[in-house]
Amino acid sequence: MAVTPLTLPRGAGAPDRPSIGTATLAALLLGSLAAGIGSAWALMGETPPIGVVRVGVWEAYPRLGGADVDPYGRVLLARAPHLPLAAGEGLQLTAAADEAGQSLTGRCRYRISGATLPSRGWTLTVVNRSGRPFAGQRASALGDADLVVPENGRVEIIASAAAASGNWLRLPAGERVGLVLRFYDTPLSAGVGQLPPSALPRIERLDCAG
Amino acid sequence: MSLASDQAPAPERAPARFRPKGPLRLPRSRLARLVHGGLVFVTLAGIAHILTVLLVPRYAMMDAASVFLGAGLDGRAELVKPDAAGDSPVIDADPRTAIAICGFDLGDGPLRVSARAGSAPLALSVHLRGGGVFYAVTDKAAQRGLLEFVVLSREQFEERAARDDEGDSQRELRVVSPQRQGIVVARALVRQPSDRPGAEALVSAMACGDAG
Repeated sequence: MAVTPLTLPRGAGAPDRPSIGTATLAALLLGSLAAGIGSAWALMGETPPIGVVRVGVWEAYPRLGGADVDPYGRVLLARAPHLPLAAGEGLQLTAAADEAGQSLTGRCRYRISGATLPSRGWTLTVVNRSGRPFAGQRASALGDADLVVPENGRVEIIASAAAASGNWLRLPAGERVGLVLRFYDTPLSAGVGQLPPSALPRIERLDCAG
Repeated sequence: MSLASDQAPAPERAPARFRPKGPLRLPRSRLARLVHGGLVFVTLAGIAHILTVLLVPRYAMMDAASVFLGAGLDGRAELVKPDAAGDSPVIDADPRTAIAICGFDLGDGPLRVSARAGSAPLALSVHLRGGGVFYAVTDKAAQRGLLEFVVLSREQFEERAARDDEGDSQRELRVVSPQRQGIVVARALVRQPSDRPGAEALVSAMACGDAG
């Protein structure tokens, strides 16, 4: 009596199918390793790819100042000495573009105007494309104590390379810039996501040189 | 009687060619092979991506807590000063603030942090190795002009609680650190450039001593 075998020996009963060569397998492994590390590296920029809160032209990463930083935020903090404002300490917002979505540059003149958040003090700093403040002669920052503010409390600042009357924030001529707005000891640091755009200053381009 | 007596003999195995079983065995059609290879590629790349993102903070030595771990070991906070070119060692430091730092290693015992409130708005925050802030307090919480707390590990906290006398735990604010090492940062706002010396003196006066 013929009995059906329980298992087929290797290669029996199935047609020969193509299999992976050692070189192909090595290329697949190396390629995927490079793609995985490369994509991680590409996302390790000056700002984390997730966790952003947008209010008008301003962006905040409130989780960077907490204990529950997301993995990409943790990478950002691990790659260079950052000291983000803690959640109870204040709120940091950055802007890289004006109201029309065009990149901020020292070639243009801007009006920064509107409301500010209740706080014990705030500062506005000009930074380079890497988010680092300009140093030395090109350093430029304002604090609320430097400004002349009308009775309605709405600030109006002219940001430009050429000196302007009133509240003036100097921009480095011709360079791409960013603005960092920090509110110290504000009760709204935890609720930044609920803020309407009108709660923060607008950045309008007035004109550009050249 | 042999169970496999009717079966054909096994063919010889190809010596130099890798012939995997299971998922690495390629399907027959060109399109199926391409999809199969693509899936393997994406899966492996995803694993490499996740491992990179998770491992970089673990082994990076450039985070603020690693860079400033040795600051203020004499019990006084060390002022963070810009270099000759005007660049701060803290990459995104607000130029309108003064910052001083104490590093700590709870392996040496709990750390008592104290700072006096002044005219400039002041905040103290505790930053961990690899990023993350687990505690922050502003001078609005100061009692009789003094901000004070003790940083300890979970074991040190329990040990301290066990030998507390009545009311001891209410006399000090205890902050349990999830890590052994980190830094305490004192940050004061410089409202006007002329206020800088006062703000620097305020943050430099933060004391970081053995809490016993």
